[in-house]
Amino acid sequence: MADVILEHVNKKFGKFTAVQDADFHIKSGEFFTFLGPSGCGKTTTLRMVAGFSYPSEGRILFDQRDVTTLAPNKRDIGMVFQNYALFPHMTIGENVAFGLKIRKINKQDIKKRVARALDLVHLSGYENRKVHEISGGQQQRVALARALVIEPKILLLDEPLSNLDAKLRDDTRSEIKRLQMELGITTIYVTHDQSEAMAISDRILIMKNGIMQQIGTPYEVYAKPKNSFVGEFIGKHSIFIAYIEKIENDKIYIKLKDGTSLVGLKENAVSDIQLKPTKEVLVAIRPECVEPYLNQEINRLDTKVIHSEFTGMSANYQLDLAGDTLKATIINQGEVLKKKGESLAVHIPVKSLYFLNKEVNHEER
Amino acid sequence: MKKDNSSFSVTKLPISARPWFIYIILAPIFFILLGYVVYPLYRVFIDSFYVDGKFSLELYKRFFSLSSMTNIQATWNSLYISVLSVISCGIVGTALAFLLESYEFPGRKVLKAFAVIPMALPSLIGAISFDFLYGSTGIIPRGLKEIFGLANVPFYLKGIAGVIVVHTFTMYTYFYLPISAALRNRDSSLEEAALNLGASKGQVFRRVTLPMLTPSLIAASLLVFMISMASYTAPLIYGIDRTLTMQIVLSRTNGDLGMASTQSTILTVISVAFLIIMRLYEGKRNYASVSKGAAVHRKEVKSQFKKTLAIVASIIVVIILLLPILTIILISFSEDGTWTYQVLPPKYTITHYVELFTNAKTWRPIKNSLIMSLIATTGNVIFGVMVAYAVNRVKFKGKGIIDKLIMVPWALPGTVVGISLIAAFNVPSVFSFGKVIVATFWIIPLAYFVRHLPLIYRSTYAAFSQTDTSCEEAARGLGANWWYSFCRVVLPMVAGGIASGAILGFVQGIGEFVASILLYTPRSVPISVAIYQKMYSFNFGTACAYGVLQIVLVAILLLISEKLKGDSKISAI
Repeated sequence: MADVILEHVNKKFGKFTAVQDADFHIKSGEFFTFLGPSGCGKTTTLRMVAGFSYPSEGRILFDQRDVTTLAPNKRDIGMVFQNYALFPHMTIGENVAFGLKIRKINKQDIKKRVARALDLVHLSGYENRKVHEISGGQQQRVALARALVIEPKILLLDEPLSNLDAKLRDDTRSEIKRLQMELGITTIYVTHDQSEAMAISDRILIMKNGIMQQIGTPYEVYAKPKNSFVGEFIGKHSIFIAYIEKIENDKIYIKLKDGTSLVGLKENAVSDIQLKPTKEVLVAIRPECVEPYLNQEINRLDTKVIHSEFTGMSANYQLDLAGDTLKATIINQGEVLKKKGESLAVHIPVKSLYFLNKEVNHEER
Repeated sequence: MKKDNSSFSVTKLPISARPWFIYIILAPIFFILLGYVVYPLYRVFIDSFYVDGKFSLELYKRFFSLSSMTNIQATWNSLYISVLSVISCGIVGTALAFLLESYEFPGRKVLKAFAVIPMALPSLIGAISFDFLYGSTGIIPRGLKEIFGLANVPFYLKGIAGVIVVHTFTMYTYFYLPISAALRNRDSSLEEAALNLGASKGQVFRRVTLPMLTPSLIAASLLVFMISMASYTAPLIYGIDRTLTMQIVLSRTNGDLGMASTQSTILTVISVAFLIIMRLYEGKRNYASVSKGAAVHRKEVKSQFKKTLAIVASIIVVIILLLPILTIILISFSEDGTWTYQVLPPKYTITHYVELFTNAKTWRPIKNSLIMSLIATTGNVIFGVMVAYAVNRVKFKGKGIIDKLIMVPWALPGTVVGISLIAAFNVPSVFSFGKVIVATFWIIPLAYFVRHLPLIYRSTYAAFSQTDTSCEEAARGLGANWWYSFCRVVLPMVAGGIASGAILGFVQGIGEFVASILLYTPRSVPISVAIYQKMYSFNFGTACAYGVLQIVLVAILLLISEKLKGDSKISAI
């Protein structure tokens, strides 16, 4: 098991900066996820860790050892590719044995370890099958066995579930998590699916346009997004521009564009934000924090329904709030479903308002 | 690694990842392309501007001179033959494709299987068989004369008409194959959508079906035009001296290498211009269907009369397709020198076949062709794999140049390849390692190498691009070094595709005639040249026995190649 450190890593392709100043420390045994929309630099970063491309600037360390430009075959990593990259001209057994053969392990041991690895992914007895004779989910597990059999210090997973159908994805996800817990192996996982990342990770790195937006546990990035991008990407927050009216004790008083006043808690502001009266801030509200208005004294919002859908357990609304859209998920406790054009008064609990920065962009650096 | 004051440290790459390292690997590739593609063409180009060692436009003046119209007429004839060939091939190939892809009738499958037969016919044997069949003393005209008791033969093929008929027979597949593929793969829901929107069947054909086929039609037209411009064999057999290719060979035979160079330069300019147009056009070449809609339905022919008609027509077409090969087989059993005025050869023997393999003199060309073709193909495969790997898997500048240069020989007529190699290597040069190669054994393998470079490169490239690059990375990640993963993972995955391409190249070598006739030495006569010599001395039987051997070899190898291609497709999934 190893820890992985990226020190100010940059990757440029010509003039295009694919990854800018990636700088973080993955702890030994941690399940760490790179999360972001496509083109955000997460796969590029993973490939630098794997050694398939080298950083333009910066260093990568495994257990204090500089591996920045070490060839990929000397890094002792296991990697599972998005399309599995199983060797089509070999059997399942030969695929899994490949890494062991290179390590010149004797035949009996190879046989034992291949059998054990296949057992680990519930594919015992598949040694002599051809790659195209097994299903996509099974191929995925073979790829996992092939990566794990060499007992790597680090396991890299590049969107390993994206080619599976929904049901299989859930099963395989828990399978991967189980194996990782069992083996305690440092794992880096790349995905664009936020719920996948939430479910499986110890910590998540959220990236956009090659720039790190936030690192944190699933709870942190969900409940306390650092900026508007993370807020919208992770918790489906609705985000509004507001002005700070005054700051009293532990409370922040703000005004929205249309003059509606709201109160929030100071502790819900991200640490590096400037909290001064008349300053502009971003206010984030998650859909599930929006409640029906029941004569509360503060934080009443008068809205009009733009769109409503009834899912059974809840009603999902898009509400018009002075020209902006507020998303709301209201648990079905017997209220009548409001239709398009009807007005709806809602209440936001004081503890549910978050104050954020704008997302980090290239221009600001 | 030392860290400088700022927290950033610029990465120092390992040697193999430094930007210039790849160019060391690429050096031999550039050397070969430069030496055997660019340099010979450059020599021809330069030679066309020098008379007696001085720069002069004299040769071009002579070419375009109005007092002796030979060259202008030759150019005109070449263009004229090419345009007519395109029209004729286009009509036959497209009609056949529509017939076979749009209608279901008895005999369709047989006809479809035989429709590609002309591809297995080496050019020289194809042209010769047509002369045997439809020439002034051919079997069909004479047969008709006998049967109907006519005073003269009712018709016979000669001159430019003969050339065009041979071209049509040998080249209609360049239309037939892409058009039927386009028809088969077209998205029938588009036509249904047009019908649904109120278009009549005629409108659907004009506004939807035809526009979808236009790219294939244009690409095929350009291809047939190029090949017709380069055609040498058919004009040779029908005695059309005034085409550019024939003039080039005549100039060379008369020792006027300067004029041959000028003619070659002009022909090259035309051919390369067409290559460029084709490659520009290739980008928008097909409208692959986006939807995985239902397969196109063929309309069934129902009425009994039409069914009978279809059967009869199919039989006739199949006979026409098979006749050339049957003729060659028949004549291969005829005794040399006995067939004069009769419709069919009067006396038969199997001695020609026995001699092919037992008589050292007749065995020699076969051995030559096999060896020379094998040498060239081996070279092609090694070179092709190197370039295809580099272009496919490594990032470097100059990729575009390599990719374009390697395709140039594809546009070059065989005569031009021959002349350019003569121009380049009749004196010692760096690229021939200080030796004269012309008039040695090695010149023909070199010519085959150059001619078949694009073919083998293309198929090798396709094999590489169809395989998954992440497999190589997976192997590297599992601890394999570059060489191990190349040998154990990359090569096995592309082997099928490469082998199938290599076989195609080898087949071309077995049938090659045009460059060979310019370059052969008495010790390195290949099969095609031997056939031509035997024809010349009226040893029709022996010539045709060689021809049959060529056809059999080609057919077997093509089948193996198809099999390999099929297998590699399955394993890639």
